Amino acid sequence: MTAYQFEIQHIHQTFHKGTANEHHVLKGIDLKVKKGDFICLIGGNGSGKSTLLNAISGSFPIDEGKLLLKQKEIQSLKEYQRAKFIGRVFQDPNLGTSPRMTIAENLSIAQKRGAKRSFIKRATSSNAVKQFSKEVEMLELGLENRLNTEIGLLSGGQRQAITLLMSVLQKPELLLLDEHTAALDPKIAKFIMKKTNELITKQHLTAMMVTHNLQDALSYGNRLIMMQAGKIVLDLNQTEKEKMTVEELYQLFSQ
Amino acid sequence: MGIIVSTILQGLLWGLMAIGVFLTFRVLDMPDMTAEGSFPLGAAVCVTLIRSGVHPLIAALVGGFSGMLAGAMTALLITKCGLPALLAGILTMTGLYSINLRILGRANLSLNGYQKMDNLLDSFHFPPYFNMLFIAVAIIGVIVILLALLFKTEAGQALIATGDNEQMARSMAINTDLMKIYMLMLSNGLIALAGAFIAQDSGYADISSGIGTIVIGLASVIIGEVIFGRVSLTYRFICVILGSIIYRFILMLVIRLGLNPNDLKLISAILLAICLALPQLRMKLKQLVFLKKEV
Ligand SMILES: Nc1ncnc2c1ncn2[C@@H]1O[C@H](COP(=O)(O)OP(=O)(O)O)[C@@H](O)[C@H]1O
Ligand SMILES: [Mg+2]
Repeated sequence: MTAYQFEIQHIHQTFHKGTANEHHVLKGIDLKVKKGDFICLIGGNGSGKSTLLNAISGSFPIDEGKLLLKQKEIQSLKEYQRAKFIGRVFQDPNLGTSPRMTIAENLSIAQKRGAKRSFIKRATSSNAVKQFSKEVEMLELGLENRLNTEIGLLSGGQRQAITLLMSVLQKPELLLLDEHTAALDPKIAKFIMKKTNELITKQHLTAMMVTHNLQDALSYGNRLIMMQAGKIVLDLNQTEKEKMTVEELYQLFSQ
Repeated sequence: MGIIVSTILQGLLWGLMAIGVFLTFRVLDMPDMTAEGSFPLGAAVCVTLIRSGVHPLIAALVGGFSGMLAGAMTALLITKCGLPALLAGILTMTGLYSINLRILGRANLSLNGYQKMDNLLDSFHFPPYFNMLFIAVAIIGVIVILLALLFKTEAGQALIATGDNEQMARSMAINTDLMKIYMLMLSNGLIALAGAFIAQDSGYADISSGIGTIVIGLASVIIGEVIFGRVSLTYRFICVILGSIIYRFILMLVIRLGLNPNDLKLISAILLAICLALPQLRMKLKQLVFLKKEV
């Protein structure tokens, strides 16, 4: 029996329970994720994609079900405790970085994800900054010369690139990307998508990526999942995915 | 001469309090009202201890420590009980009024005839106010340096990130609740320490001395921002102190102009309202000028 990197067992989530606004958003989600899987997650607006990722990362306690990361239950851990193992990039470029802190300072925060943060040690030592400079160079945005610039002064695309780097600076057991290119202009979105793929394949990361771009969903990753009204309705493996065309996928999507 | 030195001294001592307010309102981005209770708490604890024979420096430190406990109380109400920050601070502040009254035993307690911090330098025969000025410069200088160093450490950066973008901090495995507890303790510790120093400087502790501390603190923070602009955190601390000194000079001038000292709180509030409205007013003015050009 293969051990799964990550398992979702029968998750249910209802918002505003017992009120007129009661909304059953996740209706029994089951998913087994192998180590190194790069899953693209698609589905219509309001189908529960973000809610699923938020449930995994611990934005709210889930009503029912289990989350197993490397066979350990994590569903009762707090969000910041799960963040030791889970990297995240949000749709909103403002959410992933600290605007008043410099690029170097943001990266130093990310470098310490999951480690003890010292009250004595300087966060941005010259050694650390040298390493950051190398990492940022990989983004090919010229930001390595602006490590002391406040993040708030960067464009959305630049910020999202830094957020992406921050989410993998300490290798995560699971990387969650929620439409992380949706708020960017098409050119930079394409660039960020390419970098995302590079980072995930190079570091053999296990990742779940929500995207509304069907072409991206087919081009990237080794598995494709579609959600509808809080349920997984389609689960394609690598070979099935390779046979699928955008048109066919669109047909399924609009059913 | 004397009035200038004493005004600078007041600015320095109240500047320490303003740094405490700055840490919560600006760095943590949380409106913490505990200050209005922790300030007189520091004063009450310090004066009571001195009157029972404790060394004035130790009394001040214990006063500061009591403020940390007050800050922890508010932080627990926020993080463990889920109260809004504003309400949590008001609860602690209100509760502290009774506690302060119990510590003092009455509304006002004097240090007349007791050894105070400035007496430690009596043997040097400095001119008036200079004893306390030297002590204040030394102590506040050390505190500012320590704060500047603290916020450059790994944990210090986590404190800043919590105030700057809590969602990001949590997704970077920072225990943001714990960071809030640390920040409120640090802030109220400094505010109570300032309360202890100011009580020694003025020679008494007063139950109502906390009223208006937040307005005074914020006024100092904002005067510093308006005059010195956007600078790094280390310089921000210095700007807050300078803002506090400028604020004291403004108050001194206002009194010199013959205004009633009883109106000081009203004047302070108006001053702060003007400072807060300034950026907005500036925009309006620009729009007005712009519109005129259009026509
Ligand atoms: N915290 C929340 N409280 C109440 N309703 C929520 C919450 N989060 C999501 N929802 C609701 O759940 C549904 C699914 O939302 P979401 O997961 O964001 O969809 P998707 O990301 O697939 O577009 C929506 O109707 C949304 O309004
Ligand atoms: Mg979504």
